[in-house]
Amino acid sequence: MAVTSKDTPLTSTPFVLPGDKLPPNSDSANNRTGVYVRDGGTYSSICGKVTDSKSTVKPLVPPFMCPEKGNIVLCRVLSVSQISAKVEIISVGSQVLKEPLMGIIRREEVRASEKDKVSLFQSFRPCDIVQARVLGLGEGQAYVLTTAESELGVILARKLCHGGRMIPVSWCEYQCSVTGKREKRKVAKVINNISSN
Amino acid sequence: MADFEYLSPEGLRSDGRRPQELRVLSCNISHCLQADGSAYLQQGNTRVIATVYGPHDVSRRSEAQHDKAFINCQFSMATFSTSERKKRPTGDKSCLETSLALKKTFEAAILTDTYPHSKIDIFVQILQSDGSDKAVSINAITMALIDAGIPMKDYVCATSVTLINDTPIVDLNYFEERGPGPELIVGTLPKSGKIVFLQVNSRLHIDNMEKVLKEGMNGNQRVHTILDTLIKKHLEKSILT
Amino acid sequence: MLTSKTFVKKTKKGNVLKVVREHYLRDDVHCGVRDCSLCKDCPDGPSLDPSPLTHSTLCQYPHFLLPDTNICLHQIDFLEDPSVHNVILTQVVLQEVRNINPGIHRRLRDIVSNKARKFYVFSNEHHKEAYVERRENEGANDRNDRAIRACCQWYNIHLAKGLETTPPPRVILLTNDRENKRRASAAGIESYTVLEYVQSLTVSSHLLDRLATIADGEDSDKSSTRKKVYFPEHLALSVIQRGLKTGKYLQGAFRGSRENYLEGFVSIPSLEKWVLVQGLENMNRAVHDDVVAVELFPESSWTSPCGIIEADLTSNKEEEETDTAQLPAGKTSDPSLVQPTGKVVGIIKRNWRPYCGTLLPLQDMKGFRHTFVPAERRIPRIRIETRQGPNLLGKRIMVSIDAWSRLARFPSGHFVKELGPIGDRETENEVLLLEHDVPHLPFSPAVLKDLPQTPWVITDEEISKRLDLRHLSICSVDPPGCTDIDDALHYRELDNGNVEVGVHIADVSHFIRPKTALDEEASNRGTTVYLAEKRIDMVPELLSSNLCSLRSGEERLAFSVLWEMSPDDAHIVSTRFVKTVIESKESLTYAEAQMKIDDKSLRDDVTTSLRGLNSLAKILKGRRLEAGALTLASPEIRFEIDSETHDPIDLINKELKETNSLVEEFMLLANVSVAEAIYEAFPDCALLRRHPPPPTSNYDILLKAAKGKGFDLIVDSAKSLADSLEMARIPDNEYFNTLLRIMATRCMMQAVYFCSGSITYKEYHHYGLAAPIYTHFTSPIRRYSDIIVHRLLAVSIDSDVTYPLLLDKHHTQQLSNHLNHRHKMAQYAQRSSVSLHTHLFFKEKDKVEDGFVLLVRRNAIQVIIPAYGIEGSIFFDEHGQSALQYDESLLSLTVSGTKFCLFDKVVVRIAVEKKDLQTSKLALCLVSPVISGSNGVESLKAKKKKHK
Repeated sequence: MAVTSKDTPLTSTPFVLPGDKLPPNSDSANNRTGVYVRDGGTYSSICGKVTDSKSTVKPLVPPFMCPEKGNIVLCRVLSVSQISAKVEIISVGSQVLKEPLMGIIRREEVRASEKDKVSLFQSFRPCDIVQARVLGLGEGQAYVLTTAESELGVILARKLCHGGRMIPVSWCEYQCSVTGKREKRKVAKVINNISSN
Repeated sequence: MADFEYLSPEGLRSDGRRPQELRVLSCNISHCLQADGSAYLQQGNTRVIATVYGPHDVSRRSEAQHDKAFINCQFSMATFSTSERKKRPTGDKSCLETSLALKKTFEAAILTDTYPHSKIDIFVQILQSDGSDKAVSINAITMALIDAGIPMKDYVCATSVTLINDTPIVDLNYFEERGPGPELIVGTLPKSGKIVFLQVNSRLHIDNMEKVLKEGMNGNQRVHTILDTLIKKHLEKSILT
Repeated sequence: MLTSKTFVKKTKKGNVLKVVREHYLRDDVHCGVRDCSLCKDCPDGPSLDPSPLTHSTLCQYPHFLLPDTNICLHQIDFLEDPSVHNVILTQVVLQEVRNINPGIHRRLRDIVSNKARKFYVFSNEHHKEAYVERRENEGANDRNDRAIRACCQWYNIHLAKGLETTPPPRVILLTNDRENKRRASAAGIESYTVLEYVQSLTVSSHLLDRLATIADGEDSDKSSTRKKVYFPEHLALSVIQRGLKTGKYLQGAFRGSRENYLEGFVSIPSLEKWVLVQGLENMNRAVHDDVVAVELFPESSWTSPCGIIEADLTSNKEEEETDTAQLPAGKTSDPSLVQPTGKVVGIIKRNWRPYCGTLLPLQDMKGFRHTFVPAERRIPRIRIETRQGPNLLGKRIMVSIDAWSRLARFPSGHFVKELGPIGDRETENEVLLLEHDVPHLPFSPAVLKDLPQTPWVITDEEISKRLDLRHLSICSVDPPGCTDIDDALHYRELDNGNVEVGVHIADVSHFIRPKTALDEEASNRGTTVYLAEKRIDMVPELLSSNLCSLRSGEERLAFSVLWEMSPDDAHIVSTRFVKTVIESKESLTYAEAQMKIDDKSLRDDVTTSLRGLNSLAKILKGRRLEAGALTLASPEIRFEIDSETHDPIDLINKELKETNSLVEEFMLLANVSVAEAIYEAFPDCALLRRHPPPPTSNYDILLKAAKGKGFDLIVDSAKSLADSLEMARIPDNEYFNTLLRIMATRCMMQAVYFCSGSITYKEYHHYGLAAPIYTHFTSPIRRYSDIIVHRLLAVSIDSDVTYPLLLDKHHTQQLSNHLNHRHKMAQYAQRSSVSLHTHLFFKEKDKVEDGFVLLVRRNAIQVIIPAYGIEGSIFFDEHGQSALQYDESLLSLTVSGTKFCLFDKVVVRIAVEKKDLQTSKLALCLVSPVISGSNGVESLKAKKKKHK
């Protein structure tokens, strides 16, 4: 390996650039963002700043987020069928995606109990904003999502006919603020900090 | 003239450079706001614009790869880029070939396994051609990728080299490219010295290969230093504003 | 390192083209002066002295010379003089010189590379401060002149600052251009003309002779009123280029005629026939080898060469110009002889070189003005000025042409150097080597250093790498006295009933490795030149006559071709190329080998081998002739040289024996086999040899000649030509057939080397040998082409490695062009040498011999004397023109009632005619048939003819 003078750890400069060597760290590089391992050394793979704590590289440019297994995502319901609801993921964690990604919520993954009695039509409707957790990648290009936790489910629903705001009234119902009509949903229990793991 | 003097006995090339000197290199990063990353790179009179989109969702199912991102690269030359104005159809063979070569190059440099099931689009266009088109394209794409924040192992730096009277000559302009010597274009990851792109036009004898390659790698180190400073300057500026 | 100034030049021409070009200006260009405190890092080390000596009375301070372009172009001999030091050449000057005359550019470069000469090339075009940009409405030449002046100014300022010596040296601009000089002095630059400067020198007064005489503008204006204008003006280059584009003018190389100074030809690639140019005015100052533009006359006024042999004998003094020599108008009746005719309208490129020759003797040799007579008859006489007149009389000298003005009958030139007394064999040899551009200096120490150490032995390691054939009874057959034996043969019967034939060629490529000085020297020489009494070796003697020479009884390295053949029909079963070690058992001459074959009592190995080879060779030859190979003839003579005085004591016509053809057949076979092998391995860069078929028009004279004797030759193919030549025999004139063959040989094209990638396979054909592919493999000691072929073959059998240039198509083509040139020149030199020795041989003799008429001209017949293989012309008096009747259709000349036809037998007397010291000629005069009246011995002029 050609060792150039530039190969020394760059602590003085405010930025690191792809290929720059980082100070050694016991953490496995797989758990850190913006770094990779070559020949036992850790190197930066993007341009950014080295964070002191874990010596990960915090990107200067907000990076494209790929939802990973276990991430909490926000998605909009596109269509609902008997077996699954098609959604588009619009943000991962606190990061808003530039482009939406496809996601799917299967009937079995809507809630944790009484799975066989779930009716998707009574859980989601198009245009609902749903908080969900990523299970992984399905066969297609869609991420498989789940709402089978009490904190997950519809967090925002509107009445389709006039767009009026609906308010959650129970774990399974939303009520229209204008007409007072009730509709069935898988309602999320909104807590401020949901752990992402 | 048949025997044009490409290198004078005083050691100066036809444009006044010494054999191992690069042309003046300047770069404008992030000029295109729609794209995720973009760079306009000027190496002497060769001007290249590179834009990067992504990573984003694959547009066709067939592009999706379960373990890594799909890289799509399109190389093209503007109609006004060469001395003669020429319409260039998109399916131009040489452009397709270059596209493919660039794609393979950056597949080797980008940490593609970070983004499975997604796609990275790279568009590169020659605005003015004065030799070393491919090498300059590679440098420009590197800048655009860094701008887009796509994780890479290292910069990819490339230079073209030829051999005139047994002297390796680096960063060819159009005249030198058209000259009698074989042209070697080498792209490396400058930190590790790994070769990710290598192209030889016309025959180059194996005895000369080492010499030429070495000079190309040295050239890449110099390109790297320049690109590094340019990027840092750009970052400092963008942070201030 | 780079200064940031870049700019783009855009030019438009024809269809719009965008030209982008960068031009970097640097601040690290060294001024070239030692101890300069401002400049750093000179790549080759500074070459100029910080305080150069001065010998000039004009400028008595230390100074550097800075010549402008025209000085470099015209006064190269002055610059080449070793007493001229501390000269700055600017890049702009060098570039201009390069564009105008690459030859002079090369000479300048040679001076620069000689460190002792203290010349420095200043790259002003890339210097930040000395660079000047072309202004609007400024011509390119004006801009360049300004650039030169800018350099002078920059240097003067720079030297004052950068050097501690007092006074700091100044730069002197040398220019003959008045305008330039005026502007220079306006800008405060000292400038002188070369003449002023050289005259002011207190030492080296001989430099004056080396100066070219250039009439500067004013002089010629003055003289135009009183002087006669001899020539029309040349067209400007731009006009010519336009004309070339529209097809109005044609570009070609001018070839002077050896026979008639009033005629010349222009060979134009697009035309099959050469364009004839007749008359001094139409030739318009074109000198042999110049690249010219010609304008064709309308077809109605096309004519044919006049057929008169005429030498330029114009009087010495220009004033008494009585030269109204007009050619007899084209009297051609035969339309087939008509050639495109035209006139020279401009010179595209001069190809002048220094010429060897003598001074024309004058009554008063003390004067300055002299006339120089070149040895090459195609070059016009040259006027020179020299103070050494009396000294140079009777000497061979070298002269360069400087210019040829419209107002002068002859070009003007200047003296370059003295070669030696006329008639001295050494001098004459030198002349012919110089005239034919044969590198003949002794090998330099650098070259000799590359030779193997002596005593040289073959190491066991080397033997282990090679096939050991030392046990075979190998022998060589060569002409007597041959010391560079490069081929040997063997023959043995194999167990399976077939025979094995081996051709063993000296492995020269083992000793001459690529990229060594030895290799470069050999490649430059290209070929060994055999003169009548000495040999100019291509490789040093240690190799040519010892280590590479396959002498008997010595172990030598060889490159062998081994064939397995069936003995009955010489069918090749297999071919093998291999590097070997051999030991030749006997070195035979052709005659000895012949005796061995004929002597029935001999039964030894070598003899049986020879017999076996001989019978195979006959089959091979038969097969070759069947395929249409030509048997051609040219008279070849050899001299018996006195070992003490090196004077020729006898002339022997070379005799061909069966064994000659034996060796030849196997060499041809080896060459063909090798050609196939290297072509297969290197389809793009194999060095091959081809012989293009001649255009049928070349045969015109031959056909006519044969017809005169009642034979119809068929020339559509080599085969039919060979057959019909075989048929054309006259019982009582055995020499007739040989004469026909000699003539046929002269119709042929030159065989040439070429690179296989440069043309298509069809064109590879060797016409004379009727082989589809051919190369030279068998004489690496005396031909460089063979060394290259050896290297290629060695690579193809994996016994050697390649190197870059070997596989470079362009380089191979360049090399073959170079070798073609060297070979042609070597042949000419050989012929000149033979002619020189014939001359020496006949010096004290007076012989009467039989001859045959080979060619009939309007005023002369050309005679060949088979006994000596020499040719000459017999002229008939011109004032008796009425008595001369030339019949073009029959090719006969009737002189006072005696008719000369082709192939007629004549008796001639050969003697050296000595008019004076300068011009001694070999003269032929007619003894029988007796021509009454007009051919007194005095009125006959004869000369040796050199022929292609």
